[in-house]
Amino acid sequence: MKDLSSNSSRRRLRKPSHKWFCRGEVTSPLLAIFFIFFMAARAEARIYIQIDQPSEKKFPLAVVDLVSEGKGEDKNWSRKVSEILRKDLALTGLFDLIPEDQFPNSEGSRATNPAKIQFQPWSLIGVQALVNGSYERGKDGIHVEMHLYDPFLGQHIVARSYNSKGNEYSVVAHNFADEIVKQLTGEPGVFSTKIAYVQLGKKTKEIGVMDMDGLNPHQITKDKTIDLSPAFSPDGGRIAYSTFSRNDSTEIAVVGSGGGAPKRLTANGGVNVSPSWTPGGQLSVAHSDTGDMDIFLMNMSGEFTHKLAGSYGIDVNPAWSPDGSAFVFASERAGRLHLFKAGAGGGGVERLTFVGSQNDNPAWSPKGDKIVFQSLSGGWDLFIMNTDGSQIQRITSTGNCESPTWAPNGRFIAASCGGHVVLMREDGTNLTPVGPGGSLQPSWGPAAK
Amino acid sequence: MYSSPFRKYLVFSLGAHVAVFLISLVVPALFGRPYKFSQDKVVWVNVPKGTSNTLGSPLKKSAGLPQSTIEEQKNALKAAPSGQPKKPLMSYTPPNQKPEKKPQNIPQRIGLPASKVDSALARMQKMVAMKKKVEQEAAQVPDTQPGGFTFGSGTGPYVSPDDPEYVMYQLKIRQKIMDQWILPMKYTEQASGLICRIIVHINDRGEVIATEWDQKSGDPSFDLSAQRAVQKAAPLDLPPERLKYEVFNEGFIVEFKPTQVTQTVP
Repeated sequence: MKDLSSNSSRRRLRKPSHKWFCRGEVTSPLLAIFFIFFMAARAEARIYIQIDQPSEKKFPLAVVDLVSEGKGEDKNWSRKVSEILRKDLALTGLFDLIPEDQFPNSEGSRATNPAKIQFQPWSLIGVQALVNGSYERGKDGIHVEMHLYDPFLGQHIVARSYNSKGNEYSVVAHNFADEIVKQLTGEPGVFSTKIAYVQLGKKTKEIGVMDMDGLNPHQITKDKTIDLSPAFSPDGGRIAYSTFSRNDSTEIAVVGSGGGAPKRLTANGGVNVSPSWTPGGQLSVAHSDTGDMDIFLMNMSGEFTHKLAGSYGIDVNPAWSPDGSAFVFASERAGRLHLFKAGAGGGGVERLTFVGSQNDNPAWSPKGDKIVFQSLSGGWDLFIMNTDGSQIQRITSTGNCESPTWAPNGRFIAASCGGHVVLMREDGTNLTPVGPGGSLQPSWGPAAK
Repeated sequence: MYSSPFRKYLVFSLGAHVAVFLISLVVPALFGRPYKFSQDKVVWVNVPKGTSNTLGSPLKKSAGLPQSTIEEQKNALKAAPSGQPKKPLMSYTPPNQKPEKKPQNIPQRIGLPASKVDSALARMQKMVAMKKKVEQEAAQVPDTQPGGFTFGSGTGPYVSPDDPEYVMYQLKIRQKIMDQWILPMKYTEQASGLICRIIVHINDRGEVIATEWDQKSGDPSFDLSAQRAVQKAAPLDLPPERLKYEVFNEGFIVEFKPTQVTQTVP
């Protein structure tokens, strides 16, 4: 018997394969090639594009004139509300206001009834938000309805109705502009807020108040002297300011934001300037008897209750953080005027600026994250920095901008540039004059309640 | 253990595998497309707002107060996104036209003294020299702050891309779609946390031929703005040769994920 278990016999007994594809020397390379192709195919990946920020293109928005629902047309109501709305929304720097000559004219596109309006003509010209409205004269005055739509989604976003007894075009327009901004940005607008300012006269400077867009400017003091540095109280009810008196002293006075008789708080015969309210409603002022100005807390009787900052050289222009835990001020304690920060009681003084000269008039943002100030750099210009003094960036370069103040939402800054109150976005863009000629030293009032 | 013929075939097979693998490395073209070990790696590049070509340009620390405003810095980036002034790459003279010769001996204008001309020219040159050089700058920049983000949402340092061709193409597409993405501000002024993803297919002319949703945010207004951006961005740039297969067969996946817009450095 042959030993079938031996290798030699196994080799002899094995039938050689005639099928070439079964042979190892061919299949192995094929498998290898397949494997490599498989690996390569597996390595396919879609190209990922991450879009984390939208374009800087402004949001396309159309504001249509109001339509009369009753008998006869009142051109003021038809035009003025829409004009103020357009002006206010342009101030934000966020909207691309579509020109009226591009508006569709079909009846359906101009309908003010949300159930009847046709959106397609608006979406075809790229309008992403549409504002229209109607008014009707009744026995009690004018009834106004305003609407905001998203033409692409065909959605009615919001509607508001107003009853006006007089010609309150600006009240309706400001209120609905606030609503539009709230709906589209998630933050309420500031169009119903007020700005106090110094109105330059021939020989006098008086305090005035206007809407934030410059409408309805009116003088609230008739002191016939030099009034300066108005400061809105946190509740918006009062305005503190410094006023030159006949005995060559400068005193602090307070007047109601709607006008009325001013009340002199100080009568110490010294120099009392740059009043500033703490968030809690106390006044801080810079005071000097001898020429070396220091900063004090003051009660409403005009008595200094606490010295906040005092050093060799002047300390002036305090501005409080929104939580009242600290204030920033200008001081000559390091030589030239620079900005310093101190705790609410005046302790823990920290120097904030080491560059520039005559750094002055700081204003702490309502969000608490930034400080804007003026500095002499060729001319007076505005700069912005973090509250620890880092990252100073320039926001104006016209050489004539002073006295910055923040909008209550922290999105805008007002200042006096070239003899006008101007508004700009927080980064200095979209600078727009709003105040009357000769308007200086703005102070932005609190958010409307 | 294994029998002798099996061992022989095993060794032969291993040898063949190694040989084919080595050939594939040396002459990748024989196997269709090159094989890369790191194909699965996705490079995410965080780019400042509107300045896709400013990778690696840190904020300049100015010794005194900054000379240029934030607005001027932004405009400078928009005007010359590559950091270089726009100018023609080469001048071309048609073959039949002789280039104009620079006139020699320009006659003086009667009545205008040469000294006045010289002083006017000097003033003009001075004005040109005085023209402000706009740089991405700020004063009192802390040393600990990572370089880079002037206007973006990011706070970290730039990511160094390790595949410039891929990243550059990514950035071109990103810029085009980003330029067309007009989003209601509520999604950017406050962190919304919304994300949507669209798979985009283009043809060899760069036209968008199909889009499909990979993920919707659930907010119709947000989703629609993303879809509009993709459609309006067309025609998109064509890919470089190496990326054509991926682009034409797989498409892009475009992720819209707005971060809070910060105009100045936090």
